[in-house]
Amino acid sequence: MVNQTLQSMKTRFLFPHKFRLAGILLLAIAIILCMVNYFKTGGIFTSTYLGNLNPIPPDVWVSMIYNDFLQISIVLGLLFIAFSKEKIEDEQLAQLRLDSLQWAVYVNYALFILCIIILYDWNFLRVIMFNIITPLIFFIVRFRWKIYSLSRSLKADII
Amino acid sequence: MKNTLRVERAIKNITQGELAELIGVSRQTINTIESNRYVPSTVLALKIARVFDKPVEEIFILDDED
Repeated sequence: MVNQTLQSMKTRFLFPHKFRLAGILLLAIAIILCMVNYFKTGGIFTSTYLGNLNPIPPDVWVSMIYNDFLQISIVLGLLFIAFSKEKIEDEQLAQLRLDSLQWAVYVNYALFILCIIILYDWNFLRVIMFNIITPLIFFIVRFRWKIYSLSRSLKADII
Repeated sequence: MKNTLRVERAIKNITQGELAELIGVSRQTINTIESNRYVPSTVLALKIARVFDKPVEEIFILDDED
């Protein structure tokens, strides 16, 4: 019983393992839809120029809701991939996750500072837009890489 | 911190995988503990000691550097 409490304490803020697949699917669908938008209109999201339109026409509403759906899908997809449980959770993995998260935040803001210095105008705004999701992306890459190198060292040890 | 995990496993004749399963961690964790790349928590050290039926100090020993 004590073990179970400890186990659940360690993994308190994680999604079940199956959420990773759901996250991958969600992200894949969103990316495909963004690509379709890109080839159709040249932007990854549909145009939602409001200007002085009042009342807002129905097709603009649809387009706005569609964009919200895409953006939420991307964020949720990344969150599910980043923070779902591994098949075997243990304390070393929890440590690795925390280290990777810290690494990702450092790298993210280091790059952000660099962008503040070298970019202006629209280019900078574009970076800010991507900066909303890059911490998650850096974290996923770092964490996966750490897990991969851990299992590679295991194989090397057995041989 | 040093440990005698590899020796204890050989005496009891169990693999890294079997030990991992007994205490509910991954094989990688046992592997990294054995090669001194990971220091287990007190709980994990106690669980390992219980598997081998020995006091923790006989399996995990403080190093000169600690």
